[in-house]
Amino acid sequence: MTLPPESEWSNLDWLIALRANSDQAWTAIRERVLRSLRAYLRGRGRTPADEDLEALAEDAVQDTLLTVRVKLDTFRNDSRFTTWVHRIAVNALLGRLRQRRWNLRSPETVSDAIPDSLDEERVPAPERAVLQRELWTLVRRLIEVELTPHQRTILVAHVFHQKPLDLLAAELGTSRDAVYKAIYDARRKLRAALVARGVTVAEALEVFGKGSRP
Amino acid sequence: MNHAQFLRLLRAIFDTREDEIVCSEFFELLPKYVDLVLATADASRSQPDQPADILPQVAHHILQCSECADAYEALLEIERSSR
Repeated sequence: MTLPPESEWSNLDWLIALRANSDQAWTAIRERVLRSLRAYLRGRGRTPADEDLEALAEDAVQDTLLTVRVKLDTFRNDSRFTTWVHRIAVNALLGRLRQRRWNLRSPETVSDAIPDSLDEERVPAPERAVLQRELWTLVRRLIEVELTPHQRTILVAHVFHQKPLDLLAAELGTSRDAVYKAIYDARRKLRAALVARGVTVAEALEVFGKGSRP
Repeated sequence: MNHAQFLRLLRAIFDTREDEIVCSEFFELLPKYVDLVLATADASRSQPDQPADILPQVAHHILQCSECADAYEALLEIERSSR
């Protein structure tokens, strides 16, 4: 089967060709995804010539093709087919980049604890510094007393220490959605606790907002 | 954690909604959302239906989940440059 240039293919053309296991179609999708991921890495200031990153992009493409093959029949036809494929590729690439960044983090940053204080690049005015410290202390305390150990572990690891959601899910033997849901439940509890103590969003944002810097 | 990160956490806490979606639901809707964003950018400014109006839960999830926000930005960039 000979097809027109892939830039002219409709969603249906892609589906028919890939379901028919057309070499032209699979080669076209592979080259398209690889080109896109390389361009994305270049745009982010990364050099695809870097062997490690080139391998990472190649691995992400392999993951993508496997996922497309398995999930082809789940495509809902509510977007361009190529956007759907690129979404799978983005997940694969960013997942690998996050894992890589986590593995390369400096050992002294590894912690399961809530920081005692916030990192400060510039010292705020004294009266605002007091308000910031009070709000930080309150939130820190609420995280310790209001959340379940499961919610606290996940919130602290992901929000405070940027541990990837997929990695947390794998370590906890659960799904990424379940990890995200734990963070959602934690946010709900913290919001209720802050509101119950009279803290408003306007106040919180004012204390830590743009106006907080001298 | 620095001030900007803590401010983002505070925003996320106060902007928590009852009808939020999880990441897998977001990923299912993301291609459609990105196509809408690009179509809207190409169309007249007076076009009434914005992506965030059509898929508000997707727009909100982008604000609440930093990893999914990264995926949105990456997909948007890739699609924008490949068309």
